[in-house]
Amino acid sequence: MDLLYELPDSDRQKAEDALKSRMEYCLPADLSFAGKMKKGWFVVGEDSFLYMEDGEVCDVYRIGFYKNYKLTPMVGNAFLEAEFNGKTKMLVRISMKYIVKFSYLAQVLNQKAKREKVRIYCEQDKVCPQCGEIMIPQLGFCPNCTKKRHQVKRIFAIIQPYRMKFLLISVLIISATVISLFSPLVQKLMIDSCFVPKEGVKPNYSVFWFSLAALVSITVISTVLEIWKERINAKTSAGIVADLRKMVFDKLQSLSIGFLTSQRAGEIINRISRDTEHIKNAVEQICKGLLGRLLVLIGACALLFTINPLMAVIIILPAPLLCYLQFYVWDHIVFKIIIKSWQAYDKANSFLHDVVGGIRVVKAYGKEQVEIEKFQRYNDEYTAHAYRVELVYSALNPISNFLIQIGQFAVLLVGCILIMKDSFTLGSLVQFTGFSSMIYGPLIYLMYLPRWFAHSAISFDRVFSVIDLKPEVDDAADARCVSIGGGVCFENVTFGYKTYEPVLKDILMDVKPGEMIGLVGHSGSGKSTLVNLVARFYDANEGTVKIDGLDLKQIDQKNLHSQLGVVLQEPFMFNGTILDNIRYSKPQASFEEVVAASKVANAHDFIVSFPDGYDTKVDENGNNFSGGEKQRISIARAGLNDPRILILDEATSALDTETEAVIQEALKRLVKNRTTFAIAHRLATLKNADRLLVLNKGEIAEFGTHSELLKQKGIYYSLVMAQREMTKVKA
Amino acid sequence: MEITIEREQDKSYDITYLNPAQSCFYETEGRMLAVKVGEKEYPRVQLHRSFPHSSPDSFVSVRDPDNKEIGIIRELSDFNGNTLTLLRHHLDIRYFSPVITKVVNVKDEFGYTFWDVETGDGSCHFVVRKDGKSIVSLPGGKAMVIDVDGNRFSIPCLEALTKKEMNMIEIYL
Repeated sequence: MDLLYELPDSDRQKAEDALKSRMEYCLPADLSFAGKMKKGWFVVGEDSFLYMEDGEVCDVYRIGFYKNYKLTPMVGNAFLEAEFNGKTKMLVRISMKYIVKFSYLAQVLNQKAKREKVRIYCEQDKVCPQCGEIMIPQLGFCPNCTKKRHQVKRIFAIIQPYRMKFLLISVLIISATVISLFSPLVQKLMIDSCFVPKEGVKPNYSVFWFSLAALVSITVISTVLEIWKERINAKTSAGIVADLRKMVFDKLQSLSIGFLTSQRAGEIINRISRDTEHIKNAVEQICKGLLGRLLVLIGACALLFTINPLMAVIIILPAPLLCYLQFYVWDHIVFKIIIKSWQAYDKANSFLHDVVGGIRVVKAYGKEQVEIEKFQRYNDEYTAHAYRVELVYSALNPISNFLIQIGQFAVLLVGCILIMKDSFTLGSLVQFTGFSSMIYGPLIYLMYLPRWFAHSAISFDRVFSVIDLKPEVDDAADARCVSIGGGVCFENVTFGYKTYEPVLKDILMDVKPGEMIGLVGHSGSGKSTLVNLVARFYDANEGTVKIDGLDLKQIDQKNLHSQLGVVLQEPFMFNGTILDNIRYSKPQASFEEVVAASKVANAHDFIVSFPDGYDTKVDENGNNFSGGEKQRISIARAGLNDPRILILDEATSALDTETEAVIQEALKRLVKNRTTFAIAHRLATLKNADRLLVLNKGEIAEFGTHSELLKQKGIYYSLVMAQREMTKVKA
Repeated sequence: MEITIEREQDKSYDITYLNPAQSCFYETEGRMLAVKVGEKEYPRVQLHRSFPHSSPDSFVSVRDPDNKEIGIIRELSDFNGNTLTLLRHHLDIRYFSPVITKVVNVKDEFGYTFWDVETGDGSCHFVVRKDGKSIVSLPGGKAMVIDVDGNRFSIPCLEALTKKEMNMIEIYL
């Protein structure tokens, strides 16, 4: 984190004069108190700090006179504050750009004020070595310096494994093209030798039969080559799309929970299914037609100019106009409509996902009609955009066809005139129109090309915007696989989902292998965040989380997660059978292991009472099971792979008292000899915990056994008493 | 018994409205907003809009540093003169969002959009993630753009943009 920005020499001199010391930290303070954007600076010296604006020092403060330096985030801005004589003072206002840096600077000021050792933040911001711009952390490259050719390179990287197939397709296309170019030549030969021979020359029937045989052969060979090409093409494009889907899905799996939960499910699904399908279509179009048609176009043009340059020019004349028209319409109209229509499609998909997932709520509130109307609106929006695209093309295509036909009519006109003047033969005219039709075919094809590419270009962008994302939680280069014993240690861990808003502050704790820790605290106190760090769903902003004395970052994530067990408040059931769901944590588990795990989870008895036993199909979200049944299956799943560390996140809070007792019994067996972190609002459910960790506003408030904490008469004591009162009242 | 308790609890959910008759707002030397409600003094409060987009001047919640609500200002216009100016100033401190007066260029690459705009405070260049949430259409033909750092920029009237500007941004709205 760079906390020492360069100041112009004159400003630096003024600042250091005012501070009466060397400048130690310097950050841009880009907002005035009145809320105007300013080029101000916040400069910290040895024991003073100041704010300067437009090269003039405005305020100088003594660091030690103030305490509790704190960054207070607002909406779209923040300010640094401190206490002076028990009253809070706003010291400087900043935009969100520098909020993280100022939150670190606040810590520096507190350390200085308390005359503690100041932690040095000397890590530099990641900047692009070429342009010097600060890089976007989620992107692995600088967008300024990465140009479009980067995209092209990536397309080639994707098709690289299929290069031999592409080569074969190209050879087939070239062969088919060369053969097809012979067709008009043979036609000319046939007409001029047999049907309209020169005066005094007899029709040559052997040439006729030869020409006929040649034409049939050309058609047969072209058809065979076409079929061959199509077969390879289908295989290639299907392979490419499968690779792309895998790439996107793999990337999604590696991205942080924070990112994934912030995305709309419908949109993510579209990127994997619909966008990759569009890319496949584009690849197919390129393989199928583009190369071959371009070759035909170039070959036919060359031959036309050889035969008659004047008529060749007449034929080609509408082409530039046609191209301009197509690209203009694409660039100014169609592109935007297509993007809009896709956005509408994404919205409709996400809406469907929401409503189908929450159908019980919809029905419970009798909102079916309201939802139908909402969906109708999304649907109408999508239809309107799709209709607009069709409307544009329905006008554009006839106009384009008309332009092409004008060229053909002109050729016929000029050709007839030349024949009448005896400077052109009928065979030559047929040959010429044959070649010209070879030009118009590819031209019409190219006319539709922007439309196909429109979809694929947008899809490429959407797919690669996922592939380009850099995982926030990545394995270290020296990450290794270890066998976990279960000792968990938090060394001064500070963490916030937003760096400047810490949810956990300076957490210091040491948990022995096999110990059960109950996490207690109000909502938002940081309990779930703490277990998220143990599971390494996120990395700590400061401090270290260690397992058996080893930094979590040095343990391979897959290896770590294979030794973790998780039981959540809302157990998730995948499609498949009960057996599949239990085996999810250990796919190679034997039947004996599955039954043993289910018995531990108190699940075996109800499972075997189903007609299909462990082979019972699970409906979507496990809708054919009760909450207690699902929870017991998830406990069996958690226990199956014999995890060394177990996380129980409100595992029984959604259940009735009777079911809870059954599950508590199962959990008691499960946690035996395993390091366990259990979160529960109902404190009675933590009676088996060895120690209880009470969190308050992200800090450890109390840590000890049940009886120790009761003696302390602190937060835990009040919570226990409050819950006892509640129970009495309900009774 | 349980019903009685619930009724008693209900009272704590009554809305306390603050009006000029019982509340006096002032700014401390440390530039913080403070309020005296009846006899009770709150040396530091913050103003939170309940409906920042649909009705920014209504139901402004006045909260203490522990985020407990002291009361609600039903309409800012219930106050006038210096108090109204002071309240608006502190709302501007909490909700900072420069107004985009001109969209100069929007470049779309790699899942991000790169914006060059003119605001009431000068030129700005910022980066916005294309996630369907960072550019928000708001009621009344307004829009809000949130950049990767969390800065907010507002477009108070989409209709006031030129056709060229609208062409640049409409696909993201």
